[in-house]
Amino acid sequence: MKSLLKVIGYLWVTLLCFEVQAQKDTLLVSEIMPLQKEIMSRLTGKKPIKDSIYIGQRASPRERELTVEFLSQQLTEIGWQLDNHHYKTTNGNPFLDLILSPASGVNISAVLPATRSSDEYVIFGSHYDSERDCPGAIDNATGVTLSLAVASQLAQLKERNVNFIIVLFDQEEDGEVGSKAYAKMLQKSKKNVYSVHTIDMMGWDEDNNRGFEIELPSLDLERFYKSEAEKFNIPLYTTKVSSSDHKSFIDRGFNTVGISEEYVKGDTTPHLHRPTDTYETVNFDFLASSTQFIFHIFKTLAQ
Amino acid sequence: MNIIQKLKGCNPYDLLLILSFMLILIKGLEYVFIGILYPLVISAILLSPFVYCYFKKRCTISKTIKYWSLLILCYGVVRILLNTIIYIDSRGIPSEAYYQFTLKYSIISILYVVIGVTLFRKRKHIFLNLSQ
Ligand SMILES: [Zn+2]
Repeated sequence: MKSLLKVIGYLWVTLLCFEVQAQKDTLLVSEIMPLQKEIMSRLTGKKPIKDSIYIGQRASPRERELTVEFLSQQLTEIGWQLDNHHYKTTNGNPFLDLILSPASGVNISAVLPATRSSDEYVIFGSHYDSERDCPGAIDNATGVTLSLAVASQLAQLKERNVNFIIVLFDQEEDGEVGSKAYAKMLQKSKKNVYSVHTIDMMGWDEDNNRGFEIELPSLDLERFYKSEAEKFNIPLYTTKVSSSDHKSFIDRGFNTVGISEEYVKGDTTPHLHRPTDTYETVNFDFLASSTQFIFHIFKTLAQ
Repeated sequence: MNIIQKLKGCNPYDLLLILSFMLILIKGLEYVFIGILYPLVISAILLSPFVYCYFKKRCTISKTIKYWSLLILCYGVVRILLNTIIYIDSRGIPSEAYYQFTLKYSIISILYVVIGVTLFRKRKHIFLNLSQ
């Protein structure tokens, strides 16, 4: 009889925990979604990014400058310490280098220090530039808004045992110029980096399975992501896609993973690099649920 | 004041030649500051005939200037051609490069052509000290 009561008691506590967790998760989504919709609308020209300026793409130097200004302000507002990375580098082609000035850009970067002394860093981020003539909603305002929402949640954690760095990369569409420059600088800095997570395209989920892909993950990160995804009942697939910012860090030997909607599986935006990659095509439920999951990943890493 | 007076007394075509050296060297130096050496190395190689002239008295400066003026002219023409190609079809051109084809770029390209043609036509009027 006693043991039966024990079992019932245990079940009740477990159920209560689930209930509390579920309430927390709903709260998180209701907090995340308006923030993400707001930022997304500014980045994609649905609302002005500054005063009465609307941007229909984030490709020209002026549009990128406005984006840097806007996103830097967002990060400061949520309590991160801004540390933007300005770079100048080759145009990626010796002939162009003889004709043109060096390529230049700004990786928007900010630090959230650990709450207790630690020299370890977890780095995450997404590229903020877009192709020309493309509002770049899914590619990659979704990655940016996901990163910002995660950053906002991390800042509210009472305990963090690692330092976090968020980096919003410039010029990914030009051949990962920004992330290559950042990875080079990071390697020189000799920081103790535990892992790097980059997010590119997180706004399409036609089959509503909340699934996504991890691209070229290290063995460690693959195991970790898969075990956590199982807990959330999220389908997760490993791919060998190398055409995004994660490659810049893999090439320099960092423990890295790229994260994306089901690009290889085919459940991905048909509007990629087109003028139709607009705010209206974004699946905000999927974006919010992915944000929740990525936040959970970082929260676990911070423990 | 002294420098300005000296410049006033200079042959304008000498100054034009020096300007052309500067333009090419600045292009190279722009990349040296970010740790990329080859544009400066190429500039130095292209300028080397003038260094040769400086040390070898038998060298004729007008021939060297002829070579240099044609080089500057070709450089200007290549810049204009590239601009034209990108104007016609910009697909596959990285945005970083695409947005560098501005009015300033066009003016500088035309300047190269003008300098090239002028140096070529007036090469016999350029003396510089290295030919003495
Ligand atoms: Zn992208």
